[in-house]
Amino acid sequence: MSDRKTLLRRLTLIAALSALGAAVGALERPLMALIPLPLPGFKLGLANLTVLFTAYRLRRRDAFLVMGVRVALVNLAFGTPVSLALALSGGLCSAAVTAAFCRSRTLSPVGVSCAASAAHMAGQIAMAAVILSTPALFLTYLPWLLLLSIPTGLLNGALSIPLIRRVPARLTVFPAAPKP
Amino acid sequence: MKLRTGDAVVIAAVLVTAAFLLFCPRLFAEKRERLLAEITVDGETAAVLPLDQDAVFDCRNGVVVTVSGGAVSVSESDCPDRLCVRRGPVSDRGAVIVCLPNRTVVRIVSDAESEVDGVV
Repeated sequence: MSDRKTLLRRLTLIAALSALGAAVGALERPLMALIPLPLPGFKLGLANLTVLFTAYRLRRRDAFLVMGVRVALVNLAFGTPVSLALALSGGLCSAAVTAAFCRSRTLSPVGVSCAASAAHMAGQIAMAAVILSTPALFLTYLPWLLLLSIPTGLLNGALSIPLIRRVPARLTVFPAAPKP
Repeated sequence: MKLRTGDAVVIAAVLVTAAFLLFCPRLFAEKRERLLAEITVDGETAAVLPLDQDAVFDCRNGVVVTVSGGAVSVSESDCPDRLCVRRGPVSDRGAVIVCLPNRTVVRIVSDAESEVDGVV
């Protein structure tokens, strides 16, 4: 495959995955509103499946793009400047952790997803602590979000495994095996 | 793609971090902030009494300050209105009891200096 064609396919895939992530993220908002949990900042994070998939099946740096575009889309459409800042900070942390760990031989996507989920909470709280100038959030709020990040991380990790394995290789630019 | 050992390590690390964050303020809370009653007479500090130790302090100007059960109060005063005595015990950081006729101020401060100067 020529370089230009590869680039084009990669770009198209990133765009499609970003849009898919944004759609899942947008659908998740009313879903989370149904669950009466008094924990702002908590959601299932199903949209992060696209970032996980991207990190495993495309290039790791593409995960940052997919995260940024989907977070920006959802928050520009439904959010506020504050929600955008929180989601970007959390997303950046979780994408960084995903990119760092997804080639690890000791971690399955489940572990990567749990780490990413926890990193998202930490990044989100870090930004919230700055915006509200309340560093105490790290002690009062972050622990609960971290505890909740485990079940959501497990859920996303478990869902990501069939996605990463079963989506046909011809749909993605690179084969499932990591490139050197 | 089965679960691997690293996955358990990640989950354990998150749990330990959460537990640590949750419990570390309780471990250090008492040490970190200790409330003190600062007694000022004529603008000069007459005494600093820790609120966690019961004490009675005679300011020698007609005012007697009592620390009891984590709260401080002016227990006696020879001033006409006795507003300072009627103020009763205070225990919050920044709280102030003032006896103007005797030019005495009792203020609760933290040993780790707070950014709040006073609460009226």
